Amino acid sequence: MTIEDELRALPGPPALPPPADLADAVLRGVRRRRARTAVAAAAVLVAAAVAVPVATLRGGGPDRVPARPAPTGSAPTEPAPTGPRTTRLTDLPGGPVTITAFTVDDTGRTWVLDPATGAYAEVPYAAAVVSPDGRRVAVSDGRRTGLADVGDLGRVRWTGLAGGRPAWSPDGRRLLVTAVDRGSGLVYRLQALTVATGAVRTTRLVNPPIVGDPAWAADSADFLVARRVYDDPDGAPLVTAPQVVHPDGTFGATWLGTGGRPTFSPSGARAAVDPSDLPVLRPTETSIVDTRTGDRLTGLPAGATHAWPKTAGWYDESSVVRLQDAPELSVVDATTGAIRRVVRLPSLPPLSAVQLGPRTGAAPGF
Amino acid sequence: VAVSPSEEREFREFVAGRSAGLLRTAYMLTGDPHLARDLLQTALEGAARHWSRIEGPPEAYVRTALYRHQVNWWRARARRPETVGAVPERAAGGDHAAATADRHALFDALRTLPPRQRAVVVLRYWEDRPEAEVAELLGIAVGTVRSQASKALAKLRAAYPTAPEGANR
Repeated sequence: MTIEDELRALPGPPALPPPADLADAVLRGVRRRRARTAVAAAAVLVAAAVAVPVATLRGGGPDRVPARPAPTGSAPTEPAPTGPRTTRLTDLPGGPVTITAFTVDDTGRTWVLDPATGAYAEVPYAAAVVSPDGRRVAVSDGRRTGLADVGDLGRVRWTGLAGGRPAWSPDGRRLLVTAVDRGSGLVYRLQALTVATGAVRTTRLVNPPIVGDPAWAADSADFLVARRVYDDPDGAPLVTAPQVVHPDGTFGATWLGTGGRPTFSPSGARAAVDPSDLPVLRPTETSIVDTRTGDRLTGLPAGATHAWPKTAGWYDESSVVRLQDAPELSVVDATTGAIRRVVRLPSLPPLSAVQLGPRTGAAPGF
Repeated sequence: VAVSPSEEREFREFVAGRSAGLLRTAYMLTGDPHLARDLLQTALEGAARHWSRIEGPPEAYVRTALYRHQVNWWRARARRPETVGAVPERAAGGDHAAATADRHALFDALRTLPPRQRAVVVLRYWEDRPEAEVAELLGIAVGTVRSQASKALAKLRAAYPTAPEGANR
């Protein structure tokens, strides 16, 4: 009998009854999560109402507030939108870069900066991505993609494009929305919308060997996909590397030995590539890549508090900004990996993402 | 995402009818009854949140969630060395009790595999799924399934040498 046969014949656990209240426990967990979300939102509303100048998201956040009793009766629904909730950040010490948006880890909601007022407003959609100039936000509710001014989030202009999380081109002129159709294989439709004209150019990829959503290349014309490449000799089940896809659907150079999704330096000369969401060759390093040659210049190890690097963007041409737990931002030298500055955000709850941009108007900076 | 009363009833019926089998799979993936319950509850919570939008059989959705959560948990733990228990000595003898002990030994050997290899082995052999299906479920390449399975089997053979053909186990 081979080991394969033995495994097939393995009876598994003979007596492992599921808990009698499993369904109740699951539904309670879902409700508790929603209740925490509602409590966090209420805390922010209260903070805004009393005009406390310090953001209160942490103090009133879901990990600090006693849980409300779970709703009884039928399962709860999402709270109805009642207009944007706002808050301010006073933690930032001043500087040329600002946080144009942050996403709260527990709720998944994104708060977007209006540089005219310096206040952040919660966006009532699943995804919100601020344009490079910080003036507009692309939103998605999972079915539609829309655009709004950061100072008027209630007025969304729906584009007619459906797909995943939208991505702004580095020059801020176009929006990429990728739809994946099922049928005879997977067909990726990379829909590039020119915001000024409304024109859409679509690039089709049939059964592409890629992972996740495509991104823009530094030239705002080509795309970058996370390509499945090869197995890691150490046993990691999958390795990805960014690969250029031209608008005509042909594949270009592959940035071997890097990872998944890139962020570009202000000039576009270098990119920081974090590992993708799947196991990769260097799962705890951010690769710095020469965008002209695709050469990997160096690797920045993960920070002290994040097992997996999260690059928020570039601070300037020579350093990147990394999101850490706590939460805090660290400005890291893109050549040596040395930490230049640490900016703590004690008034915020744990964040899953921040978006960066140049500081303008009344925006706080660091 | 809201769950309507009718969807909640449907979800409860699904949990009542399918959770025993799903928990067995979770146990095979984790090797620990407490982790198995946690893993299943996590996967079911995701299913409950998206119940109205799940296309096709919900069991397939939950199973996929089990496998992927397990791989993600492995990734989250990857920087910390995993505690790997010692493989127990195999029981001697050819009677039923010895065979049962042998199976426990194989199960213990399975527990010593890294979680990603364990997931491949459980899907590929214990659930007897084709390589392509395993690859799709785990979101990895077929070649990766082969290489991971090969490494896992080599470890299992070393820890649990099989008896010669025809031998009474």
